Amino acid sequence: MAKFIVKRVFYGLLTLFLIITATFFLIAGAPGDPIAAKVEQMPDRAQEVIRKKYGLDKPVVERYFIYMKNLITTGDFGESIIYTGKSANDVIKANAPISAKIGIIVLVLQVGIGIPLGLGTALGRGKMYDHMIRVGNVLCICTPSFVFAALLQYFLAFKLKLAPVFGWGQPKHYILPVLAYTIGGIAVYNKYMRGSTLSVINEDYIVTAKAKGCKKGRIVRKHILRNSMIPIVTMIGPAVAGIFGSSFVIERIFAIPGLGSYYVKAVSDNDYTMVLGITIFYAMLYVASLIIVDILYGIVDPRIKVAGTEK
Amino acid sequence: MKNSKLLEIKNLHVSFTTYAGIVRAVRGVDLYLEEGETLAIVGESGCGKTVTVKSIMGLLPEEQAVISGEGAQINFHEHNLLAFDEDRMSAIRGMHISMIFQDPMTSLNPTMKIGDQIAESLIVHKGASGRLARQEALKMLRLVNIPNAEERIDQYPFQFSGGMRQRAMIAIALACDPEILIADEPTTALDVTIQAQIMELIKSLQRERNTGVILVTHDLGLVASMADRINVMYAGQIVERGTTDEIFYDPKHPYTFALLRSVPKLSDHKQEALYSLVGTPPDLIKPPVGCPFAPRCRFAMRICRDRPAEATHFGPSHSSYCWLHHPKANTSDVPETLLKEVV
Repeated sequence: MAKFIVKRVFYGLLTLFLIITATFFLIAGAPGDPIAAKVEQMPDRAQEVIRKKYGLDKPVVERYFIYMKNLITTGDFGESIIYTGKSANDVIKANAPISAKIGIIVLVLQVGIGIPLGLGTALGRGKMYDHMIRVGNVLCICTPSFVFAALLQYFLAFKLKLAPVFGWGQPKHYILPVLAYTIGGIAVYNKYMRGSTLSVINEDYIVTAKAKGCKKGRIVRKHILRNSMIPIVTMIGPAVAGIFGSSFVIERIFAIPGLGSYYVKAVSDNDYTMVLGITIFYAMLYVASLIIVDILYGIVDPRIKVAGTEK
Repeated sequence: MKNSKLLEIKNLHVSFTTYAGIVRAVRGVDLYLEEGETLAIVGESGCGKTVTVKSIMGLLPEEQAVISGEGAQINFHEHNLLAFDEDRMSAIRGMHISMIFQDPMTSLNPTMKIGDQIAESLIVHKGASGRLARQEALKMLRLVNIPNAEERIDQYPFQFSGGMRQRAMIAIALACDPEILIADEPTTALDVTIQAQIMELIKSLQRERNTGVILVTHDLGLVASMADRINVMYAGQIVERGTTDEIFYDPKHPYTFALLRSVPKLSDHKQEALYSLVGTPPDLIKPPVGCPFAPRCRFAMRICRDRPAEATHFGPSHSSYCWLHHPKANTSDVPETLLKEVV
């Protein structure tokens, strides 16, 4: 098991390195310049000073090595070019937790509601409630979260005055963004869990369990659940990485100062250090979550664990 | 001690609702099983063998399968299992009647340890504690000749070979020492050498425990060494029943006759192509009115297509449903074997 994890971590670091390198050169090669707008009116001398301050006077390759050296030795993502005096680390530290608070609640709700719902509809396949939930599911999957956001703002906030339309800072501000963000995810987990459970129900070993004298509840608990969760585990990993800000749309609509909105703005601003810093942060989360999924997979599916340790 | 009827099926009809129509898979089956004996149900694919035995266990899919028939009964110790609800049925399954299946590669739960799968029926039926059930599971693994049982008990099915999985299946089925073991094509998915071992194992455990065995197969070779009695099924009906000797040496129904002729014989040195029965079984969405075998039967008469044949009895245990045995039948071109007792 330890060997398996070490190997995974090594590959994870390699992936990170490739992502950083690719992002660095891509954003450096992108048209436009982060400080062009800022320094347009200044005399040439002053422009040069500012360029020197951010190291933009050096060739790209040299900048890359300086950046990597800083990153590895100090873990510093560098100072933002747009927000003077703020490092990308500060921005992440200040804003990622806000995204995470919403993201964690959303993920827990999505998984906590979607999976039991999927199991339930699969067990009652062909019944009225199964059909109804399936229709609802298609609607929820097809509707983008910003449409839900607008609908919720209109009905819950504006008409019924059950929650504030937007804003941040109090518990009640969670209600709308969490709802808008959760609905689609519930439908997705429900859909996958239903499909995976249905395929397990038709397996021969379920007949074996029945022939043994297991009652329905025991068959579900001991034989169906674990096997139908295997494909779902693969989905949850990347979703964990996503909780820190995959929803910049929701953050924008509800005026939530999360990391997602900073990320998008950094890209349009050509803010090299911010884009790189946030990209690295997301990439780390993603890679880590994939490693966790691999380990979880081993726990859920014995075939993988043993194959990994026997080597 | 072969005197009590352990299991008796009367006039069993099973039909399935499908998109194409209602498939009448089993059409009036009567059979019985005595304590400790082996009954073989023989027939080609799709003749209703598996459906018949699955209905004993109540394992047919509830949504599609309908069990009907006037006075249909599946009597186990004089209790009609068809009247049992799901709760009472699950108390029978695995405890009194067990079943092993055709494909051991898919019949075991891939994410559950073999030991736990064997122990499960003991926990479910006897309320055994985890530790006791584990000891019993270990005993069962040894009983079915799994080497290194102590190590194997904590392994998963993917670490077992096909033959070992089928042994594990037998261990699961016999864990509670049931009175009836239903083996549905237990060796079809296995190598020939392993087949013999598995059949040998079932036979010896049966003798030890006096278990009644219903063996479902299309392999007549398997039946010869194993069965006490044979029921030959065709298109959802039993067409001939008798002891193994009677069926092998004195077949009365043209279908049985054809089945026997299509078995290759090692002693046969003639350079002849192996006999094969032409045609396919009838579509059971629209079952034939007369004898279902008539369209493929070389000796079919006009009446065969119009009316089902009554049973003709050739002895206390031997009977067949065929018009050829009617006194008025024209039997001039029928081989002697079918009519007289010739080896």
